[in-house]
Amino acid sequence: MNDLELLAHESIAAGTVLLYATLGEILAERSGVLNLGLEGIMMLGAITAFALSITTGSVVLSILVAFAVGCLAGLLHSAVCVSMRGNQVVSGLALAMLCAGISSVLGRNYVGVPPRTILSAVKVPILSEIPCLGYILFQQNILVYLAYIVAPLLWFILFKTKIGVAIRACGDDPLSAESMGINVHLYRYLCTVLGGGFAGISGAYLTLSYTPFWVENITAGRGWISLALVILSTWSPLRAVLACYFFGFCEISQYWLQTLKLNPYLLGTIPYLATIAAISVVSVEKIRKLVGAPRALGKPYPED
Amino acid sequence: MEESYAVLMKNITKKFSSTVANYRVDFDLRKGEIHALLGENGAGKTTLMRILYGEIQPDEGEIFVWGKKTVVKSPSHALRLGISMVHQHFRLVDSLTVAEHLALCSSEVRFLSKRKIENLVAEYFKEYYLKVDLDAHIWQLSAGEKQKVEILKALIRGARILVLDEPTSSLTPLEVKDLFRVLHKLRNRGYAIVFISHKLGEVLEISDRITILRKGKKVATIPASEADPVTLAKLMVGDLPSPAKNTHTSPPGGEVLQVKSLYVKNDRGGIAVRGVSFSVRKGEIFGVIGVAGNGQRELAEAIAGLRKPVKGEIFFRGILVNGSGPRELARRGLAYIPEESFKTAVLPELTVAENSILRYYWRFTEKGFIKKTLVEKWAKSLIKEFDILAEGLHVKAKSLSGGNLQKLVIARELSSKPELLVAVNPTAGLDISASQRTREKLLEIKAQGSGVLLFTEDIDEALQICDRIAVIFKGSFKGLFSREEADVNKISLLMAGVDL
Repeated sequence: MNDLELLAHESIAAGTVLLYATLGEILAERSGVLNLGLEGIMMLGAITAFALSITTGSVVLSILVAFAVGCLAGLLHSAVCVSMRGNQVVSGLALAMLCAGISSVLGRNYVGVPPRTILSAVKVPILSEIPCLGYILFQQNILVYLAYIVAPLLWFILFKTKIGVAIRACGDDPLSAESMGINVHLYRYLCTVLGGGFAGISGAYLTLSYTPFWVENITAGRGWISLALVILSTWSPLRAVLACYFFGFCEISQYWLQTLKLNPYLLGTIPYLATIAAISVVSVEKIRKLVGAPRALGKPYPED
Repeated sequence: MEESYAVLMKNITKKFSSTVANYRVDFDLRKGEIHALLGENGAGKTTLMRILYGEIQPDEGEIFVWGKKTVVKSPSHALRLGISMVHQHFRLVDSLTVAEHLALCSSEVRFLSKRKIENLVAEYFKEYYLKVDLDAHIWQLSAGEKQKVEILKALIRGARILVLDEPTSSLTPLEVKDLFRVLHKLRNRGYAIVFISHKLGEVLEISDRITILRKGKKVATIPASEADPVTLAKLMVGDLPSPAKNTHTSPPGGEVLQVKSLYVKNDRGGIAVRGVSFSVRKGEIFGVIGVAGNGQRELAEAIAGLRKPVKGEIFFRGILVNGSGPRELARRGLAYIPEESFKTAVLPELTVAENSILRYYWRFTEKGFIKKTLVEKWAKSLIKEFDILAEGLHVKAKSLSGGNLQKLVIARELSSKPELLVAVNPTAGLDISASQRTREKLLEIKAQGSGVLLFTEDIDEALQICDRIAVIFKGSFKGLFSREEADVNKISLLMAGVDL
């Protein structure tokens, strides 16, 4: 194992934090619901998982409950935005603050508590023996592996199945979707709820593996970054994998490049510059059509 | 109940808050026929069919589908009964491909396997001339192809009764011919088809029977073989106040607008106007007639200063105005009534009074502030002069009906005594009497010495009020007629792209 291999290994670990939340948000936005509450939901998932791992010692249970809590937050958001046709931006921001507040309260007694169990790396038999790649990709923890499966699966569902077509129809033109017998509200509920659950897993991954302790604001803006990553990956789960690992790489390389006397703060801006570039490109009408940016994103249905 | 009736609607009445859309309408549709529903805009054709499709519920009346009394609760219920409606504005998702749409409509497809979808549509492709590129995205398709996708959608869902709402309104003549071929084939295979239209010629060509609606009431149902355009028009419109006539014969004055070999691009970057040259004189109505989408909008927008021409020159009152903005042109005396002005030329959330000053709002200010009393006085005078029905000056514009909004726009644009008025389809969507009033207004400002550039799709309107008529096809002028020379047949052939 050399330095570069270690860098790549750590980048993937860091990128996975972002990946779950990004995948979840892609799902929600493809159905037409913008959820700005990711940051808060991640925090909620983080404290839920951490507290449960301390009290029960079960990692699996911690992850599952963090997922469920995320789903609940997503449910709240969809109740406001889908059923009551509320403003998605306002509801999302409120959700972010609400969840952040709740997690602070829940976490009061856990600040500075050492972890009882953490997600340990599991070597995948055979694959982990591959030189170089084996170490980078297949000596990680179970949530990293799960993401290897979830991302392509989500892509397959969105682009190769009828359910996926229905989801995209809801996000693009709900009126036409309804005319083809699609229950727009049901799909938007499902996608938003699941999207919230994914953000919950992101949080769990954070406190169970990446930074296994609890402090307030532990997510440090990763929820907001995930929102930008959705655009950078142009609503594609596969591009999301690349985008998230790239952001993970940028995060990790800051520590490394300090030794090379490069300004780490300047380096830290690279992912954001990439995002701004992506947003500018995506704002061109023709490209929006090509990448299939959801046209009805953020709009309640039925419209007034 | 006879088996051959696919649909029987009896005594259908539907009231909306202030208007009666349908009053005791009877309608029947047989298996294997094309039944046209003919009537003016607002005659209640679409309402009647939306009731059949379950989108709205009737206040009174009964519906029998395949001989069985039914309450059609919703569109999905209608689809289960085998009724499908193709709306005038297609219900298609731009970003999805044709194949994806068809997959959504089929109960057999779960995964997007191309072979499965090909098998699904092979029969329709071959038998019904409905071939469409399965891999194309909807936004890449022409209107005619979109129509085919809509019909395919209906067939795949197992519809046996098809309702087409103004299916030809956005099609080119060639695409219309294509569509008719498809519809004939479907009819011969036992499908029952309702064809909603207000175009006499098409209705006579395609349908087996014709039902005419006027102001929400059924006037008659007659076999197409016994119908002719004159009787149909009479049944459709009823007795009209004698139409406004262009009687003003004094010779027109100098040229107020000159356009020299103008080229204009459309939104997609293609050339929409190709080298058009013409001039409009004071005291004349210059008509540009053509099927929608032949460059009219782009030409009008270029003249109104909303779209920069690629090449060519526009002179307004003798001055080159290429690239002048709308405000400068307005100052020089240009008025503009855009297409669907009740949607595009008013701000629905602002009040009637505020909308009435949009064109020249700066004239109503004092030290940078809007002077309320001035605005109110102005708005009141417009409402009175143009007979606009509004519940006050300070209600939101969106509370007005489309016709009254149209009047508000016309009032605003004409009140400034323009040197030139550019109007794009100003009577589309208006009822007959409102259309007449609009035409009278145009004649009135012509008599006052203004030039009028009128874009229209309606030959009768052009012949009725224009002094000169140019036919536009694919962005260029195909012919220029004075009113005396103008001939309906010639013009319609030119509109269809036939070179004479």
